[in-house]
Amino acid sequence: MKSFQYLAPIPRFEYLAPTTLSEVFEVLAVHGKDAAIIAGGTDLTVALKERTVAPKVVIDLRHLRSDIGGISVGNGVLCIGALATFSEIEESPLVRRYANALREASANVGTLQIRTLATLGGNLATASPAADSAPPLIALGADVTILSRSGKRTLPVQSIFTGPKRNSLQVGEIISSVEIPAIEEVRSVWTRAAVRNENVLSAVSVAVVATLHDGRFGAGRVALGAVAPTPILAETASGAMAGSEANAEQAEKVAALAGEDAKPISDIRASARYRKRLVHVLTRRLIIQLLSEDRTR
Amino acid sequence: MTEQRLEESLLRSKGVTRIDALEKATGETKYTTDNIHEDALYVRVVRSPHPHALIRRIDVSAAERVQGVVKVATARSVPGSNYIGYVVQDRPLLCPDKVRFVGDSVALVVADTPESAELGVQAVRVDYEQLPAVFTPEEALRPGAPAIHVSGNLTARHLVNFGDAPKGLAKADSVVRGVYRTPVQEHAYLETEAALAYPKKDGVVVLGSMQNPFMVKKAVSTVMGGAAPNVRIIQAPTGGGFGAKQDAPDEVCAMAALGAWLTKRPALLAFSRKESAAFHPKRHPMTFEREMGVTSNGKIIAVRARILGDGGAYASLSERVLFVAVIVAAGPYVVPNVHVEGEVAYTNNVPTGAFRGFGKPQASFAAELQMDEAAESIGIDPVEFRLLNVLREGAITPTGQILPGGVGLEECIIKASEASGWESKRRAGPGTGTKRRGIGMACTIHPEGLNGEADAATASVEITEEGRVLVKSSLTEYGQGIHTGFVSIVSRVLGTRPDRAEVILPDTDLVPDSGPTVASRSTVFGGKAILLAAEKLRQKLSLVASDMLSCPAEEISFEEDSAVRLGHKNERVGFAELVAECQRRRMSLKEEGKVFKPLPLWDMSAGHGDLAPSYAFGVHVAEVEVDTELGKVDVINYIAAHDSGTVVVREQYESQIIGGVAQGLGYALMEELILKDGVIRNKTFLDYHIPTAADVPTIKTIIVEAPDEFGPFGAKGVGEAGIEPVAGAVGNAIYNALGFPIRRFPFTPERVSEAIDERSGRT
Repeated sequence: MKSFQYLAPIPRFEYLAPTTLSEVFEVLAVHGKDAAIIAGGTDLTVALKERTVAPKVVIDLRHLRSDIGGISVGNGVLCIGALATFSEIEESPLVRRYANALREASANVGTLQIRTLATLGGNLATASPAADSAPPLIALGADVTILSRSGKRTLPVQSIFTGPKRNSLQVGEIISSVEIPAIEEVRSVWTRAAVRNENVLSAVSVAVVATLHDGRFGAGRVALGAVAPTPILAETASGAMAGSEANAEQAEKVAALAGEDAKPISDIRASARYRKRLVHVLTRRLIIQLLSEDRTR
Repeated sequence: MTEQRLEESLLRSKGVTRIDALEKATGETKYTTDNIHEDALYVRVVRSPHPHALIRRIDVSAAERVQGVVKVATARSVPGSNYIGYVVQDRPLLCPDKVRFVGDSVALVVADTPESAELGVQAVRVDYEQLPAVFTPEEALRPGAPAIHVSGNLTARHLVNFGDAPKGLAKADSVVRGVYRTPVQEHAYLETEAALAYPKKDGVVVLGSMQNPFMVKKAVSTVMGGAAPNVRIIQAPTGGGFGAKQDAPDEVCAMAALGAWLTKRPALLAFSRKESAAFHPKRHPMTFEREMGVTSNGKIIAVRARILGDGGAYASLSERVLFVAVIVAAGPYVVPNVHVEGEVAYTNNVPTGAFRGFGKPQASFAAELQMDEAAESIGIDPVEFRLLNVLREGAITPTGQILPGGVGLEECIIKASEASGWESKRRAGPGTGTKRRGIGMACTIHPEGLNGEADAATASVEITEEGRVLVKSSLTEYGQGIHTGFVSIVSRVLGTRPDRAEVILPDTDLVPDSGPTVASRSTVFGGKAILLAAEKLRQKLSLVASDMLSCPAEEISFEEDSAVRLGHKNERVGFAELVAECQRRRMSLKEEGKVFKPLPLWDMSAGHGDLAPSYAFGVHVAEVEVDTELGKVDVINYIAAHDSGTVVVREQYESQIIGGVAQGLGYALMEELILKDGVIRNKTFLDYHIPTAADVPTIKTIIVEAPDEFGPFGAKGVGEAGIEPVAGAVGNAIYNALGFPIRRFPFTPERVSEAIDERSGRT
């Protein structure tokens, strides 16, 4: 008996699984443009099957968990390794404490099977406009650390995204970690809208981050997914939050501005007009939720 | 958990052993693609990229030179007839001169490996001359529209005419009017289409995923013609069908057979998910222009409706589906004046055909939404309105038949509304915030058997010398649990342990023709034929047992795996011993049962008459919460009350209803195949959403048993009814929550949101 595949097999490629970072950079230096990097594989294996990528070499980062995995806090920064899976992020008490919005988004990525494999670094590198991890990270003011043979560089998380499925990584670079300011007072929440309740791409997703002091917002940020070629910071909405009164009226003002900040397209999942509506309503609800959780009053 | 414990918890939780559950749960079941021999070839289909085009030339020379390609077949390679189809033979197996939808089959490439077959497909050069295409039935029926078939663009037309609808409407105190639209639904079965064909002397053997082996045999024989008169079809275990595996396997199996016959080697054709989505017939989208007249005291006086369906590029089952939609269009109510006209048109979209419910989910949605609109127009509660008009035994149906006995509809309505807390919830109202509650009811009527056709089934039951009870029929198991039902029936008649019974996998060389596994007819027709065969065996056995126990045969009963003398519990002979005695007497323990339902007295041209010997009914109540800002609908409670006669196996009866409701909630809330210029835009499960467990609430089933004289033990069909009223029940619950009806579904968040905006004048 033969085993059967509905599609012809994926074209052959060389598989490399380096065990140290210097080996990673060595093989990247040799194979450069012909290489694809695999972490959880939940995006790459689909792309391989669909023939949207045809790498000659696949470099597996699975042995580098001690280098670029794990979740820790130090020096006022929550550091999440690129190889941390969404299940790990979802279950981490540190993430719950400092980056609740990221925990909520992580808990809704794909299915349990996907979350067990898929990594934060992979989600950013794939650079989908609908990447669920991106709005929380943008709103939380996260940075991404990128390693290469020549050293490391750090950039704000939204700078990773340059267009739909396009990132700013250079050949020879890998994402090593994401750094989020670890501040107790920062509250963050996330939600999304989709046609069904689980295992679905978001029509839009929204993250809101704020600090609250004496009935006023300190800093505040609203970030949006699936409403532009990349995940975005809703700039006018975020600007309207900073220092303003923290009440339902202001929530509606900020939410309306977020709806204006959104620059969505119409596609099979939702029309542009409906997406702007979703951003408006979800942003207002998230801010109201933050207010109701406010214990500083 | 130990294997034994697992088995117990899986199979015996409620006392009935589903015969195929453990091997399916453990992955042991061998589906078609689990049976590929080393020397099997792979068949791939060259498909049209155009919705409507003439084929100027097909050049296969480059494809034939691809390494590993063994054969490239076109229409000219077909030894018999190239045209197949259930109602009209309008579909070419391989298009000779014209393609009619994106995905139409043009050529086959048969190769050593899937890669070679794929490269071969890419190397086939087809010169097309594109033709103007039409994508809606309205366009297709307009004078001067491009003709898709030489016969024109009308696929089918049907009529119901009973009483005088215009006069009835004129007399009505209130007339409600509306246009109701239903979406294209994809079957989304787990196992895509697959067939494995082997050449043999003078013919072919085909193993495949299918509902109807004898229909496949007919199609394969048609295509092979005199060249291969010896055709044998075996149904492999099949992972779902829902109607699309009624006729799609005709082509898939015929293509595999052609591949095997032309190369004299085993040949496999199996579709990827995208190919499956592009190829098999879908559920018809239908538009209902509908008027209903009612009197101020709550009686329906007339219904007038015009139905227009998109049949896609080929006829498939359109004519039959339309017939069913037309005959149930007025709903399960007393309507003295009815006029329903229905048409299905050819378009250059993917064909539409059979899908669980077969026209009834569409018709029920339109009828049931309008029922609530009519009730509102005269200020009557929807349940009260239904009870005022409901069909009862002896009533005249909207198609002019005096309703025979076994009508549990009224009881279903009463029990479903009581169980749902209908009155208090309707009184409480939807609330005023952004989350509004609503509760809605919808009903369905299911005429038994193949509608508008004569129906017949033959099955056999055989007892082997080891005392095994073999059941042979062509009715297929594709997830419903029908074979477990058959085991239950023979075991009850013969009083034997269920594990004595074995259902032979349908194989046209080994089983009698029991008709197709469609129309919720398997238990009723197949089960009845099996019951009759088993009763004949019981008679034979009771004669032998009466000899052995020295008592009259009439005193023999069969229970606990024994023949027992009535009133003398200790005078008994075990089944094995009884069979051994029959063997000594060289008796044949093989019997056939046959059932036949004559052509109903339906007058096609007048549009009324008798339709079915009996009817099944369903009444659903849905409770929803609508987010008025986002348009999102959550179904929070669901009740499904059904009268499908006497229940044969309770667990499977309920699972058919629950499965139907879940599939119906997908249809109601999120499922819609989106076509643009004939191209399907959501072929995979990334974009075509079916519900997950997170979208389906607990479904409470209520069983009402109004027995039917015909079916085994009084059973009626239940396979389809579960899906039929769902969109109507959800639609009416949304109507109740929002205060106005939305006459088009699926009720996606965006559609509901738009309807709310439109209503409130926002744009």
